[in-house]
Amino acid sequence: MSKLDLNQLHRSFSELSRDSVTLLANHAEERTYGSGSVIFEGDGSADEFFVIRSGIVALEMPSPGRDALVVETLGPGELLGVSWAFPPYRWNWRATARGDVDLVAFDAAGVRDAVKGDPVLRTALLEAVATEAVDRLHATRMRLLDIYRAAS
Amino acid sequence: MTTTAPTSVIEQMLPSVFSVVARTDETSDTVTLRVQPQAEALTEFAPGQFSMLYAFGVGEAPISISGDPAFSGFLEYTIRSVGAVTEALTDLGRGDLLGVRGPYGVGWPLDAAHGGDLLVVAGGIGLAPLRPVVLSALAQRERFNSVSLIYGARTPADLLYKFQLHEWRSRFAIDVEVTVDRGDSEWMGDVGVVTQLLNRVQFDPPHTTAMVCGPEVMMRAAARQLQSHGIATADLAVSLERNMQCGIGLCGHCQLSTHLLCRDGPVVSYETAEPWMEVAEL
Repeated sequence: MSKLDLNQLHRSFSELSRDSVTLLANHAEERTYGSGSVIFEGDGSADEFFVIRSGIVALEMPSPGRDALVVETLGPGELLGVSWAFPPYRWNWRATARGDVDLVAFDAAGVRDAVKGDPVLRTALLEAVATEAVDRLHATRMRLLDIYRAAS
Repeated sequence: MTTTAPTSVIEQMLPSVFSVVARTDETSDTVTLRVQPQAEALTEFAPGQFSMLYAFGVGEAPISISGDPAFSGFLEYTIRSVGAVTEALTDLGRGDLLGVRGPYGVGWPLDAAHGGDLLVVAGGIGLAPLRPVVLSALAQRERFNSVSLIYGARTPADLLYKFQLHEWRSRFAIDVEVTVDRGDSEWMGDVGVVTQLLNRVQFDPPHTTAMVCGPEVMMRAAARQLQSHGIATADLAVSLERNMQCGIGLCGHCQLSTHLLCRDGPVVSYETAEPWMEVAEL
């Protein structure tokens, strides 16, 4: 992947240096998933993480005897997968493509190893994970309020 | 001392009799009524204005006009049943009569958006007061750069104007993004809060006018997100709801700080509204 592509891929990557981008690019590959494809399974090993370039991905929980429960959808520019960053490195939700999805996949173990020598990249990646996690926490709290039920 | 109200004020407090000419069931508790006056000519309205609707024998409620300002023969109101008056109004059908006063209040700053980007953010029933904005923007599309609507509802069954959302999206004249808090087995759209859709639409923050309507918690969260995207507070407008009774700035029931919302609102700049919306019980 080119430097330009990675710098624009995610808001936390925009300030990365050429060296950091090169290092990250060594562990990245572009992928396309067709509609309905499972990108990763819940409880699977979180050995990759992704940034969505186009399309929508549903985070869902399979439920025996009924349709999977969709907890959230993610779109372009969003980080797919945060479990890769912290032990025990296992997914909690299944990720399914809703329509065709283009994304960039990163080898999590390779990136974890590579950032040991690049504190700037390590900070950027942790910032990306933390920012997404905080945004999703706020969003989840808003949904817990169930504001539309009470609204008039 | 006895005072006599001016005739004009008395006239303003008298409802005109309208009849329902069409009824659309939007959701399990929300309907859109198309109404026509029995005798009087219709007054033009601005997107965002409201009327006082009178369910005879029950009472009055302030309801935003949700129809197209370009259609002069009738008015439309989208009403959610949340109390005695709105329950009576949502029970009305074709041929039934109701009282209408208005239109009242200050509408959305549509002119301020001309030449720039228009971003409409709606939550739940909050799409109703913004529907005239979307319809007006479509009618004069060349006056704006990008026009985007992002809309959030509780479930797919709670979405208003489903057919029209599809139509607006299919015209490619505006970006339409829709999300729900909880999907169902049929729902293939987004799941999440409305502010998460901000990254899906194109707008140039310094040249964007944003109009936000929904529950106040949602409006506050949306306004903060819009501010963090770089939209100036002065370019943000919200529609506030309080206990409007007279509709003409006399009774004071809808006072919010220094404003009587029936007269000085319901649409106000977020620059004005922001400090009020942080005060408990104001």
